[in-house]
Order: sequence, then C-alpha cells, then structure tokens
Amino acid sequence: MTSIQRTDTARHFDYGANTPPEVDITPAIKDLRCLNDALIIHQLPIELLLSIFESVLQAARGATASIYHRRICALSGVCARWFFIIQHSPALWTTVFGGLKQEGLRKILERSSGERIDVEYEFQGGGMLQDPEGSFMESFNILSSTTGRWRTLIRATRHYSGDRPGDFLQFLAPNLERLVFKSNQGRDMTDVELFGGNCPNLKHIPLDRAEYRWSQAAFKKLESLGLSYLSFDTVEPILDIIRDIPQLKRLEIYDCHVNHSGQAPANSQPVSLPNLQFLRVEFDNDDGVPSATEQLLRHISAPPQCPLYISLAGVKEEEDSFVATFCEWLFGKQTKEVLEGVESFKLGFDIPDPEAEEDHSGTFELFSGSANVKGGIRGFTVMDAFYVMDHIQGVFQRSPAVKPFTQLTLSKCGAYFLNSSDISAPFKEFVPPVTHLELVEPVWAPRDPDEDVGDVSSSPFSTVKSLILREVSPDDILDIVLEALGDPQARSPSMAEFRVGTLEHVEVHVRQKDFNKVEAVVEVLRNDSRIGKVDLYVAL
Amino acid sequence: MSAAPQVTLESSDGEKFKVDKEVAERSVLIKNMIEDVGESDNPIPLPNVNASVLKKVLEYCEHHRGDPLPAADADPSNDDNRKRATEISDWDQKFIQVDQEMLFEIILAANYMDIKPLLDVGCKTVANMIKGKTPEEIRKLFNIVNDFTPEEEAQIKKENEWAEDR
Repeated sequence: MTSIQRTDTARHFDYGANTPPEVDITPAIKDLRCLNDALIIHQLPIELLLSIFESVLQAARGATASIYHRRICALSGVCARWFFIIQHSPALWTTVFGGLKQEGLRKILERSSGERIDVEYEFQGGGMLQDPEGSFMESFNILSSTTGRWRTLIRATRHYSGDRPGDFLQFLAPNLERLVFKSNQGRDMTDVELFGGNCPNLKHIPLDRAEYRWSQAAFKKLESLGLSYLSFDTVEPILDIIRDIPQLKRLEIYDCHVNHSGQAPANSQPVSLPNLQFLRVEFDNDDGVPSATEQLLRHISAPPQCPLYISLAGVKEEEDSFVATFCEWLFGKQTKEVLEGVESFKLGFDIPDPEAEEDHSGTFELFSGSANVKGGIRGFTVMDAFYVMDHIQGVFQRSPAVKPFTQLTLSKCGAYFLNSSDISAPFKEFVPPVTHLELVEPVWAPRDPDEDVGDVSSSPFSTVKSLILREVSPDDILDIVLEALGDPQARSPSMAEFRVGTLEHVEVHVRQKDFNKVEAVVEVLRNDSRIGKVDLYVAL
Repeated sequence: MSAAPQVTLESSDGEKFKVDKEVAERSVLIKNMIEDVGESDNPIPLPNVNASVLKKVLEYCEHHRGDPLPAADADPSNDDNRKRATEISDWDQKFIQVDQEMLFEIILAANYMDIKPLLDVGCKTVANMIKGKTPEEIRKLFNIVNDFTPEEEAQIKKENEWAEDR
C-alpha cells in the first residue's frame, strides 16, 4: 500500500455542486448536513479521507467482487459527504470485477473515468459452467471496450461451454503491466498471439497451465515471469523463453514437468540474466528433479548474489552433489563457504494434524538469508528437512564457521513439535548454536502437566538469547515465554525440549486490534528480571 | 560542548514552545521555513495548530528525533520499507491511543506540518477503526448523522444490489 501523502486541498465540500438538480434537499436534511459539517472527521481534506478509504479497501482487494463492493457500499452508506466523495473519486473504482452484474460493471467503468483499471474476471461456481444467459460474453463485451485502460488483467474462470479464453488476449492493451491467467487446465493457446504481439508495457506474467505463442517483441519490458503446471520436453523451451529478456528480475518455475530432464539443450550458450534478483526452480518430476534443475541452472548466468529457491522433492541422500551444485551455481562458491555465510535459517512446517501417526508430511521450507547469502530449499517431508540439516551440520563440523548461524524460524509449529525430542533432536547438534528463535503462528495448547520436566542443558534451544513471536494468540504469549524459561507458573511446565538459557530479548508482533490485550502481557514480561529487553510492535 | 540549536514555535493560541531544531525539523514545513528564512530568534508561527495538539505532535517528534527521515523516493515494494510502513512500536501505538477529537487534530496537524510518518499512523488508525463495520456502526463511531435524502437512500439501496456477485 502506498503511504499517505500530505495534501493542501481545501476541506470544504460542496454538496450543491454534487447533488443532481432533481434531488430535493429539504431544510431538515440541510440541518443534518450542517450538524455533520461541524464534526472534526468532516474537516479532513478530501485526499486524506480518500487515503483512509483506500486503506479500508486495500485488504479487500483480491477478495470476491461482493466483498470488495460491499465495503465500498458500507463507506458510501455512511453520509452524503462520503457518498458523493466516493462516487466522484475514480481512484476508488479502478478494481473492476467481471463477475458483477452488468449494471454494476457499467457503473464502475463509468466512475473509474479515465483511470487505468485492474480487471479481475472471475466466474464462481463448480464443475462445467453453462452460460445460458450469455452473461459471460456480455460482460466480456463490456470490458473489451476498455482494453486501452487495462493495467492488470486477472482471469480465473472455470470451464463453461463456449469459453474461448484466447478472446481476452486478442486486443491491443498498450498499458497492460500484469497479466494473470489462472486455472486453465491444460488449454493449448499456442494459436494465440498475446495482444497481437504488442503489449509494450507488460512487466509481470505468471503463466499457469496455459501455453501461448511467444512473441519476444511483446515482452521487451518483462520483469517477472512465472511458469507453473506446464510440461516441456526438455529445459530448452524454457531457456528459449527467457533468452531475450535480459532485464528479467524474477523468474519462478514450479510444478512444471520436463519429460527428458537429463537431456542437455542443443543450444549450449548460457542465457545471461544480469538483472535477476530472484530465481525459484521446482520441477514436479518424481525421479529426475535434480537433473532438470541442474540442466537449467547450468545454462543460466545470473549475478552471484541472486537468491535461489529449489525443491528437494525426489532427492535421495546419496545425491549430495545436488546441494553442492546448488551452492556452486548460486554463489560460485563451495557449500562450506556458503554455509559459513548463513546468518539465518528459516524452517516452516505446515502439519495439519500433529497427532497423526503417519509421517509428518507437509511442505517445509528452508530459507537462509544474509547480506551475502540468500537461498532456500523446499521439501515435502520432515525427513527432507533432516537431510538438509544433517548436511549443514556435517559442513559446520568439518570446518568451524566464521560467522555464527543465528536465527531459526519455525512456522506453524506447535508445542508438540517443540517438545518432541524425536523431532527437535537434530537442532541439538547444530553448530554454531541458534541464538534467535522466531515462532510464527505457533499452535499452543496445554500439555500434560505430569510429563517429565527436563533440564535446560538438554534443550536444543538452550543457546537461544532472543525469542521473536509473530501472529501469536494474545492468550499464548505469556505461556510461551514462561515455558521457554521453565517457569512452574506456565500452563504446561513440561516442555523439557523447549528451554532457553537466558532471554536477553523478546520481540512480540501483534495486530492493532490485539494491542490492549497484549500490552498488559508485555508489561508483565518487562517486569520479569529474567528477561532483558521486551519490544512490542503493532501491525497497522 | 555547545548546546544544540533551538527554535521557537508559536501555536495558534499564542503559546510558545522552545525545542531543539533537530526535533522541529521532523516537520518538513518547519524545515523548509528555516531553510527559507534562515535561523532567527523570531518564533515560527503555526496558525493551524493549537497548543495542546502542538505539544502532542512535538512529543512525537522528540521521540523520533534520531529516526531516519522517510525518503521521498522510497520503494514501497522493498521489504524493509514495507515493514517500516506497516509496523509501529508500542510507544507509537500508545501515543495514537487518544480520544477521537485529538486523533483527528493530530492528523490535521501532521498534514499541515508535513510529518509523513505521523500522518500515516493517524490515517491507518482511523482506517482500522472503520474496517469491518456497517454504515450504522461507522456513524455511531464518529457521531455522524444519517443525512441522506430519500432519493439518495434509494440510490444506495440500488447500488448495494448491483454490487453483488452474479
């Protein structure tokens, strides 16, 4: 969200100039408006009020049309001043949902005036949709007259008989910057030339399940490209796509399939991407992920500081060379040197049912980041995570790190995870020690108080000096900290595996609505002599 | 060691505040005025801000005196910039927890004095107060009365209908 700009405009609002002549303003209504005019909120300059409205609407962008416009209607329904201001502010009407009723669609386009618009064309409903009333096509026809103003086009529509998604792409859209086509379910659109091969300002295009005819001339300014759920014979077509986009900053390839993953491209000339700032490569091949990824990486030349995120799916323990390739490509260094530069390590687990007996399957993401090293690996099982941690440990044990590893982030992990010696054991061996522990959205439930209480020296987190809590329930903050300290007052003082030595710093991040509740808790923490500094941050 | 240079600000109701120049210059308006007229012993008049509000605004400026000033060309897509823009400290949160009258006075003063971070915090706080509320609840919150004509009421009802998904 852009921040609010200072304004010099007058605060006065002229109802008369905005009221149609046929509307009869009775003296009683005039009196009410005078009453409202005396309120301080009505003294805000129009631009500031609009900035506030923008903030209110911001969270609803990307939601359904009804949610977004219900919010606009809620604001317009407050008083005549707000109603008139909103109606006459094109900037508030630039999000256009194709799924609206036609009258609404026309009104919004009219109110957006000459502003550039973000078109989200989404039809709800499951299965094969019919379009008996032709409403899809009618909306499409209304929107097609505005292509010159399109800034964004997001199309996510389930199949319906007669749908021709390529119709959206046949126009000239000279101002289009972002094109998102979702849920195409393998449609072949190679007969479609995007916008007649002429969309000179296109900067972002994630292609999901849809192939298009590529016109390199159309992507002169492309900065971000996403390829997902696409199938390729070899990695060569991917290299061909990016070969002529040297200004590309972000490239994301995920859930794509390469039939002959080990086959080297005929054109062995590396693709130079000197401006690349982010690269994600995750093929969905069950048995050849490393080879497809390695083939691609071998043929891309990017700045040494460019972060790389890859998948571990399908990697077997004996394939240590894969991680080595990852490090070499990414940083032009050996694994050891890369890991010595790691300052933080983020491990996110998404385990829906921690009590389930089967393997704790679920995505995990491992990120490391510092000024010198940025990268990440995604895997699908806890075993994948252990594989990576083993590898890292091995490297550290062979050569003492110059720069200490400091931060570990655990997302969506519950008390179960943190208190399970089976799961947390690998952390105990970490060299160098974890000093900052970040818990994001922790799932905290009281544990059995009769469980054995362990001593701090056995905890994998005994070296932690700083605890960072994000997206945590206000009711759990005190308990988590007390448990970390091994305080008998904690709800479940049996978290033997989750013990910190000394807490020099606690950082709590909460939403504004939770502030008052959390403030009292933070005050308790600030008065606790076992804790050094306590910082509280509020998200607006 | 020489004392920090100071300036005097004069509120709309004639009260004078002597503050460190560094603190006063959190306000771009004041910074520009000092640059334009040079340093002087004359008080800088702030005819749009009364003493109680100015005192509060200066409390904010004092607390943030060492903070880096927001760059005019800051890239909002940058993670750090975004984080700074969307998270405030508990001191700021407590500072902005004032009665409604004072909250809007602070916003108006921040706008007039051109103190962008304070303007941001104030406006986003008002937005958070509004979020998720019905028109009736918003009216109640700000003591606004329903001043629509019957024709306008009908139009709003109609807009509510066409704003629904098909």
